[in-house]
Amino acid sequence: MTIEERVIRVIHQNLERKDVEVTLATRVKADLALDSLSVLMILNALEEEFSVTLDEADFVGIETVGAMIDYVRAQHPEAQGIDGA
Amino acid sequence: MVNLAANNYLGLADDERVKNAQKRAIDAYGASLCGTPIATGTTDLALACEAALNRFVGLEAGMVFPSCYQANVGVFGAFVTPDDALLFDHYCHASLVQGMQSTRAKLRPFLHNDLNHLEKQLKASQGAPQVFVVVESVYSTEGSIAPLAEIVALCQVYDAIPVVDDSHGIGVIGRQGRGILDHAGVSEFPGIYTASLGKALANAGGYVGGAATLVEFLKYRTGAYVYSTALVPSLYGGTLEVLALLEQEHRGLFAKLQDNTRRIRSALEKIGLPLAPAGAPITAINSGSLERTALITKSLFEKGVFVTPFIPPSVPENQGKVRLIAGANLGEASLAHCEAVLGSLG
Repeated sequence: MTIEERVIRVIHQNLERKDVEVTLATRVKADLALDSLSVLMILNALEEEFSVTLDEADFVGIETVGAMIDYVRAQHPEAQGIDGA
Repeated sequence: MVNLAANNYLGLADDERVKNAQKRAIDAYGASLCGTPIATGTTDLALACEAALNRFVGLEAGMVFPSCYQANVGVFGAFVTPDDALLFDHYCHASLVQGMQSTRAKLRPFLHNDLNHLEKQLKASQGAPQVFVVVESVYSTEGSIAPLAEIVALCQVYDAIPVVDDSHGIGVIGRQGRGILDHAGVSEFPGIYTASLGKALANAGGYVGGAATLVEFLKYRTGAYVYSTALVPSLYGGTLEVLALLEQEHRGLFAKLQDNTRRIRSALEKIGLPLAPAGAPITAINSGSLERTALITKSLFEKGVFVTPFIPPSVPENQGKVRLIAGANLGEASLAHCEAVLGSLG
C-alpha cells in the first residue's frame, strides 16, 4: 500500500460519513467538512500509522488531502513510495 | 413569539411553585451570599440542595458551581496532568473541550458514539498515567444519546475514568428525569458527573457529582469553584422545588414533551427537511450552509417562532443545524401556530 493510500484510508476511518470519496484533490474543510477536532482525530491517527510526531499548528493550515500527504511525507521521508502495512 | 429555542424542556421555568420557592429562598437567605462557598457561601439550603441532587442522580456526593460552563472548564485542571490522556466524543460541548485543552494533556477525540473507535483510542492510550473518557449524555446539537453503560464497561476494561456531562439529560431522561445514570442503568458510576441546573431543572448552576473523596478534593482544588461567588440562594431553593415536583409530575410532563416533539418533528418531516436522528426530545434540522441556517432561523423568527441556529465553530463547515425544543408548557394554540409556520418552510 502506498503512502497516499494509507493516508486516504486513515482519513476515511476517521470520518463520520463513510460515503464520501477522498482523493488527492479533496479539500479538507470544504469537501470533508472537518472541524478542528476532526482534524485532530486524523492527525492522531496519522501519527500512529506512520510513527511520527505531527505539529497540530502546521496541520491546521493544510487545505487538500494531497497537501496532507506531502506534509506527512516530509515528516516521514523514509516512507516515500514504500509499501506499508 | 413561541419559544422553541430555550432548554425549558419541562416548562418549569414558568411554574408558579418554582418561582415562589425562589422567592422564599430570597426572603430567608437574601439576594446573594456575597462570598465564595468556602467563606460565606455554604448554607443549610445549599447543603440540602446538594444532598437532594446526589439522591436524585444516584451519586455519593456533589457540589454546585455558579454555572456548568465553569464546572466543565474547571474540574479537569484539578487532577489532569500533561502526561494524561483525554479521550472524548468529538461532538462534546465547547466547555468540556476548553477544560480539556487547558490541561495540556494528550487529546484524543473519537467518532460520535462510536464504541469501536473509542476502544481504539483506549488501546493507544495505555501508557498514560491517567486516562479519561469524556462524553455528553444527550448531545445538544443532535439529540443523540451516549451509550453510557457500554462506555463505562470499556472504561473498566482499560482502567479509564468516565466523565459525563448530563446537562441535556437531567430532568428529561431516566425515571422521574433522574438523568443518564438511571437511563443507562449505571448504578455505581465510577467517574465524574456534571450537569447544568439551567435546562430542564429550570434554574442555573453547574452540579458536579461523584465519590465523596473526589468531591471533597474538588471543593478545595478547583479554582472556578474556590474563587467564585457562591450560587445565589434563590437557585438552590428553586432547584429543590423542581426536584420535589419531578418525583410526582415527571411522567406527565415528559409525555407532553414527547408529544410536542413528535408534532414539531412531524411538521418538518412532511415538508421533507432533513432532520438529525434524535433519541432525545431535541429536533435538529440539518440546515447545511451558514447562509441557509441563518435564513431558516430568520424566516421562522419573522413568523413568530424562536429557534436556535448552530453555525461554525459550534458545528463543522456546511453542517449547520437549526434546533427546536418543544417544551411541555406549549399550549395547543402555540403548537398549531408552529406547525403552520414550519409547514410554510417547504
